[in-house]
Amino acid sequence: MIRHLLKLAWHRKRSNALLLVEIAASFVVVFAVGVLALYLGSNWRRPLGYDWKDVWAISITDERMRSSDTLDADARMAARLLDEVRAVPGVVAAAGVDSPPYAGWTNTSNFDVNGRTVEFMSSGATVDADKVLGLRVIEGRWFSREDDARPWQAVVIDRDLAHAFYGDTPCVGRTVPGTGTESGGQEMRVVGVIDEFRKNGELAAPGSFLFGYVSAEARSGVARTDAMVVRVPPGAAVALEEAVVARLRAVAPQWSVDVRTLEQMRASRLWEVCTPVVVLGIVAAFLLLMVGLGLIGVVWQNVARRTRELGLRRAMGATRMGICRQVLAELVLITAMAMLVGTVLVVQIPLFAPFAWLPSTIVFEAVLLAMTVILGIGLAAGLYPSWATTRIHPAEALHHD
Amino acid sequence: MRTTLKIALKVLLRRKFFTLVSLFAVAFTLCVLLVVTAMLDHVFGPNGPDDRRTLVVLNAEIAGEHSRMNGSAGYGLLARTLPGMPGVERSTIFAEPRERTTYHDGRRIVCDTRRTDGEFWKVFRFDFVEGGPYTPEDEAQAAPVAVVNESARERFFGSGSALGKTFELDGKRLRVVGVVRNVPSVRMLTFADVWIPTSLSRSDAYKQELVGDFQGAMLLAPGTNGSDVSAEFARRVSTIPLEDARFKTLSAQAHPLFVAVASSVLFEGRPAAVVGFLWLAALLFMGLPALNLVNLNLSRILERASEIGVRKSFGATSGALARQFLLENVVLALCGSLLALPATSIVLAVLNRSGFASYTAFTLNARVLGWGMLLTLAFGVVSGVLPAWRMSRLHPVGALQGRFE
Repeated sequence: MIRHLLKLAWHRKRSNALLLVEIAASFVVVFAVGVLALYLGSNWRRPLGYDWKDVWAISITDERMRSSDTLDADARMAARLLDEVRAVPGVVAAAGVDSPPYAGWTNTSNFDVNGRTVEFMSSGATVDADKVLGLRVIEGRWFSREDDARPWQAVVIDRDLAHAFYGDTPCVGRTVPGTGTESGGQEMRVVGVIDEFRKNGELAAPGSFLFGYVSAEARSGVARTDAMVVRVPPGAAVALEEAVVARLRAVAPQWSVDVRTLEQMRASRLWEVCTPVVVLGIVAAFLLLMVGLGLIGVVWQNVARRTRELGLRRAMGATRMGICRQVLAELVLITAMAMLVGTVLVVQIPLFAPFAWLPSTIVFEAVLLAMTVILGIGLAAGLYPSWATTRIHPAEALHHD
Repeated sequence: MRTTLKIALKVLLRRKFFTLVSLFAVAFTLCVLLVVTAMLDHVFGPNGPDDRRTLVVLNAEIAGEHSRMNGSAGYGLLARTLPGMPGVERSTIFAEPRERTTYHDGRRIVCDTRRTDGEFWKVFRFDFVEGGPYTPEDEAQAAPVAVVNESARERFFGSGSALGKTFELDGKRLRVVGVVRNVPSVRMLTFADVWIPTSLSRSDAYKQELVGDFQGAMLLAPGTNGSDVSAEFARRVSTIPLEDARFKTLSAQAHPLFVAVASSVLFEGRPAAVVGFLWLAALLFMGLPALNLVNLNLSRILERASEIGVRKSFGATSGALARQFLLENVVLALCGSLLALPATSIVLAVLNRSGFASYTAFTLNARVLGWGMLLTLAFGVVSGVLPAWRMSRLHPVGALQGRFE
């Protein structure tokens, strides 16, 4: 049967070739949208690692020229601003964090560990940041005042990074690879491990994270952060926000202060990521509808053109179902070949460097999804024309010209 | 020609289902392309306050062997290059808009705030609802004044005049001197909710910056060749001494807005490449719909076989037939574009309402329609060439007998 169908398809290779290209192209379109949607979906299901509700992010920047003589004063001022915010009635907790969740800026570093490159995002953070953001410490502890006196900089890393640095062994108290004496740089030591911290939000790629201890009194490391995070009671009024800003401006008139709620920042992040995907999805859906309608037309014409051949088969005793099956099977054959071509094309994608981040399971799932959709469209497009052929009366068909 | 058109219409009306499917394909394709064109026109075309010929400086980069800093241009760079440029009527230096949160009568108001000089209001022509702009003298004296748009006026003061009223922004109390009509947020040179003098800053540090958060625009005098001004700007940039020893080179370019944006994203300031890239993208997008139409048309050769056979037997050349079929396809594309226009205006109206960019009013203007015409013709030709060629090459005898492959 299949050999027979192949022969029939081969006889009309020129028109089938173009059809094949069209179906393969649609396959690639479905695959592309599918990969994006599945990728974002899989990110969405991963744990976030923090609680964004009822938290504000306040950026505090000094607009004057930065110079080394003001560093100490700046650090003391940043620490004082933090204390001022904590003292405002109604504020639950406050801490300094350089890049708060959902903020546009990030600091990314690459370390060589045992010959592998480990890439991670990092941010400075002060004591209490775990309380404000609801971070879950799974080993060791968060930063505390006792870290001020250390000759090394205390860091807290997330589970991914702990695994990348030390494998599955306990890591509290160990030196971060590539820092310290042998490299001549500032030594960093791990004081705690948190579960996860996906700074760029629910839809962002999973990544590793490192928090470095920040304190104006620390003997080593960074002295101040550019932003602070503040936990407020649920449904805090605008008046509280105004009071906090007024307090900050009164203490540091030279500094620029700006408040955002994490809820707003999260909404705009999600909107930025989702909008292109939704637009792509709508355009792709229309493309597929168009392809499906076109396919109906093409199959219809092909069948009409072969009235004689199909009529002959009917005259020789083929059943209606048999004819119907033949038409559908030919269409499925072409669709299958097109999907093969499409699959061969798209499985190359993870091999290219710009797409290396794409997990192969997602590519696999997207291929399956695209196959289902395209096969469904092919079958749906073939249904009416193949049914139409069964209405042909054999005698009429043989007379047909 | 008239007969050809008549035949084309008759063919379209003969098989309604196929015509509808083809029209849907054409209309959908053109609708997407027209929406993109209308958006590009709204972002880059001459409309709103910047409707005259300008060159803009958006980005700057300083680089050394080990370090590199890039971002928007700095005030220092622009102040040393823009004044006194030959062939330029006026020039202005202004900051990128920044979101500022402020509290007014117990409400929280977020405003995109842009710092500008006084010349800004002469290079760009805003539509003032009341009052007027602040002057270069206001800027020099750091006068606490502001121009706001209608939306900000509404949010701060409700309805009624706002002239002379004051509001607090970033710790300073500002007096409203003018109210302008809302500028769409996609107009990247002019958009803001509140405009204030550049000098209303906490420090003078910005005056030294080569890379910072400023942009510059030069209004070209009539008859000036833009590329001469670009070249002179590049020469002036190269003469700026670099005080920081870590850096060796400073680069910044002046271009028309579209080229400046496109070249900072994709290409190194080659306008032809940018336009070529857009056409390539449009053609790629047309690919699948065109293929769809090609397949549909090819499968319909049978219908036309006897016609082709007869015409060939009576001496019609392949060329004449190919032209006829191509024309039929272009007519189909034109009919499709008639459907695409109302569809496009519906999509644009939905986009305008959705608030995905504030104050936008995407419209189908004459420029967009012109582009739409070009795209329609391109689509008609791209999807019609192959079937026309295949049909015209049918062998007359075979065609008359109904053999077609």
